[in-house]
Amino acid sequence: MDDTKVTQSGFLGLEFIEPGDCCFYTNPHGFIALRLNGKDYPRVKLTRAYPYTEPFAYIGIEETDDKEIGMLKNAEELPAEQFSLVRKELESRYFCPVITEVLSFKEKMGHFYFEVKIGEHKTNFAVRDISRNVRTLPDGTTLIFDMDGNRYSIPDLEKIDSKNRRKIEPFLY
Amino acid sequence: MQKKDIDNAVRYDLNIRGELCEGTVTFADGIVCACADSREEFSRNLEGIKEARQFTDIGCGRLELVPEGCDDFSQNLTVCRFSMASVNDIGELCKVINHYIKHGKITEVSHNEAQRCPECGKPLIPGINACMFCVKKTYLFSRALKLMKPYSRQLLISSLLLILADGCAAVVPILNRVLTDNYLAPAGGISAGAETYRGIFLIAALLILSYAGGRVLTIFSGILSNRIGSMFSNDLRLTVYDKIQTLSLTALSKKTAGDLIKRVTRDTTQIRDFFTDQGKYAIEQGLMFIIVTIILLFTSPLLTLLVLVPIPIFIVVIFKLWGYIHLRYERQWKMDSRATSILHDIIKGIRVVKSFGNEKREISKFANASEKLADVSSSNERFWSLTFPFIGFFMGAGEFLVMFIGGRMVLDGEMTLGELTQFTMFLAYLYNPIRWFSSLPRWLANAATSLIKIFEIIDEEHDLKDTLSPAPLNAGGQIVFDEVQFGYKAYEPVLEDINLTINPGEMIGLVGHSGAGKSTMINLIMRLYDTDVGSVKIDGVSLKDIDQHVLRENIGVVFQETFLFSGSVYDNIAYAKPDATYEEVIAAAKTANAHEFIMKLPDGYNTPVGENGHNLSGGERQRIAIARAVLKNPKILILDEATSSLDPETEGKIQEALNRLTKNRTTVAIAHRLSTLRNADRLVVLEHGKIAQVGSHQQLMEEKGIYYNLVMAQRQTAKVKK
Repeated sequence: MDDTKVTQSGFLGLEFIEPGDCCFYTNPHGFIALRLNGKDYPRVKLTRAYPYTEPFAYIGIEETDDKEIGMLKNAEELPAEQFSLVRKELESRYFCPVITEVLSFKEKMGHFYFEVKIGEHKTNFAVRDISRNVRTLPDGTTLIFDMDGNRYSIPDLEKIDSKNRRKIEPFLY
Repeated sequence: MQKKDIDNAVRYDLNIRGELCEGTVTFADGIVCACADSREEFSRNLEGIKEARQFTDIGCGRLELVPEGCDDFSQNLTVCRFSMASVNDIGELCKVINHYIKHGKITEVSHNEAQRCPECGKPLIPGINACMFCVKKTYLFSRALKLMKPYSRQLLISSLLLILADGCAAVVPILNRVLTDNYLAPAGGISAGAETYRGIFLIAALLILSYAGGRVLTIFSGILSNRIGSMFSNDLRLTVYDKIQTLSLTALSKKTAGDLIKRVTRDTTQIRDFFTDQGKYAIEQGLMFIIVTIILLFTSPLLTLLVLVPIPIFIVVIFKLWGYIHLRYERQWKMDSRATSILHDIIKGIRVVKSFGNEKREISKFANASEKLADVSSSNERFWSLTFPFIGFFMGAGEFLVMFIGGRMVLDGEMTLGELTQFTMFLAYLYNPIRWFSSLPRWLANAATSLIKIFEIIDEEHDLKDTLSPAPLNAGGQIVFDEVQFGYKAYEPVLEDINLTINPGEMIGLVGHSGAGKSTMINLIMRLYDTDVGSVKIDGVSLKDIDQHVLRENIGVVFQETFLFSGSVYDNIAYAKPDATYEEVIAAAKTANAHEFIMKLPDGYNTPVGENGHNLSGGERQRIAIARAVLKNPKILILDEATSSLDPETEGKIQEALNRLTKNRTTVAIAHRLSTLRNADRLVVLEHGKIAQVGSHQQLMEEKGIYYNLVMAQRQTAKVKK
């Protein structure tokens, strides 16, 4: 980043990429690419530093071999078209489907089996060590991590039917 | 999920737009094809494709084909996307495709670690192959009963004794009825004659006899069933333990040590308790229930119905209540563990807390958690103290009803007073089994879980099978890696295309970054795992054709961490050769430079070591390990970081011992500190699971490749340390 213009932040001098210097585009093969100060990165990887609390700020931009190119302080400062590109990429890279309905919730041998609806799609998964793998975020969203390494979110627990909600609630504190 | 779908088809669950779908990727006739919700998303042959590669994102991943001549992945072709549920299967497919690209051969996708139940599609609990929803409990228990077969006679006797004891107990209310009806309140009025007194005395004597008889029978039955229980759980423990000993590391590594220990100790006890305690009670209480119901029906059908009708309602209420109470206490338990863990954190990290001056913040954090716990537990106590008296009251309600209606029946002459007394006494007998039956589901569930776990160990197939006709091994000590490919996880090959011949008596040093595959190569030589592709041969015989026991007799190992078993120094050295004489052990210790420090110990070779024993330093343990290897006198020697984490002086002593040990033996050594490999005949440099360089130290330094860089880097850090 020798010739890259950067913004500095705070006394530690954290450096960010200027939104005006970079240009995100889709390469001919459908991957997100970046032109930064005249240099082309034909495919880049976007990573959230604060995936739950700041989904579109502090976005790390890396080359495909994980070398960091730089960091965007706030993706929303990008031109609308580019922001929507970045947003689409982030949302596809971070897969955390929203549970719309809990159909059943059962315990077997310390593992908790959920049967849920995600939109119109029915699926089931199991959670091990539930007190560790169900978390409530400061904004009230409930996050569930299943055994395979998938994440699910329930933005508003009040909307889950009361019978199953009562079964889940004891694990949420 | 069917295993025998079309050739090489695996499921995936995200369409190109990232929405959940039902998809299948197939690989047949050199064409990769992905279909989501029966619509084709991708189809292409492998012309111009370098490799198939799996990229993992967060909570999902992509399968991509990498075209030739493009290293930055910017021209990849996305085959499909998937959530983490499919990651293993896709990885397997990836391996099959890459194998095809490299060798032109199609192999079948192995679904070796099923993660979902093939019948209901629900996730399986890792380490347990039976689905918690599909497993038939009747099958489990009938199979468990077979385990009890050797004890069937004792069990029968024990049950008979219990039934007799039940009989004794059942006599008591009947005697009471006779006492009331014939002597205390007979229909024709009381007659206080000598005959009456004799009658009362007789009944009193019979009462004492039946009480005493009942107790004695119960005691004998108890003694017998305890004996059966101990023998049964001992059998079960040995079976499970034996099985664990014979399992391969691949099978064992899926389970933690704690889990295995629990299976040997806790699960077997759980099953014993179920069969000897609960099983006994089931017979006793079930029989009691039937006998009492029959007697009650004979005494008064109307009253009996009055008592029996509420029972199903009562059982349902108890069940529901249990579920609810369980949830409440779960919550309390969670609060409790949260408060405890906060406290634990603060106390353990007290230096950090104090040095940042955060005491107040931490106190309020704990106070908050503690308050919540207090709230929940007081609410639970309140609930408890409010509900249970009510339950007791409703349970007793049947009795009040019987008193009321029965009393009227007595007055109307439809029933005698004795019959009513007998009835109410039997009623108490009836409630006991009911109370017990309401806790039965919990017992059943616990026992079923333990049975599943135990049967799973018993049923585990050996994945490293010995051949039926093992080839003899006259180890000269030549080791050959022939086109070896291997990965612990299906989708992560750790070793690829390994071709290497190690000559008898040669010392090979394995060099490379951590994770390059050095330890894996060693594990393969010891056949702790089997290769995925290719073979490892010793003196021309594939490891799969050698009896595993014979193989390990010919290989000696010194690990970085030496595990000492509880026992004396002698025991630990002689572990390699249990019949070693005292002289042999001393000689081995001398060769290993261990004799000197052992003699300094007040108890010499009798010093207890291991857990609860004398604390030996790392270097001392290492020398004991070397002595073990010396005593074993193997043709092939493996040194896995044998001299790391030691101070230079100790290292010198150990190096000296090792030099004596490696003489005339084929040796494969791993060392991070490259200087310790200076005696190696050849060095093999591994990089990303492939052999990058082979040659002597001199040659490799001249090549200025990876090895040169590693040596230079170490010299740098050594300088910095100085």
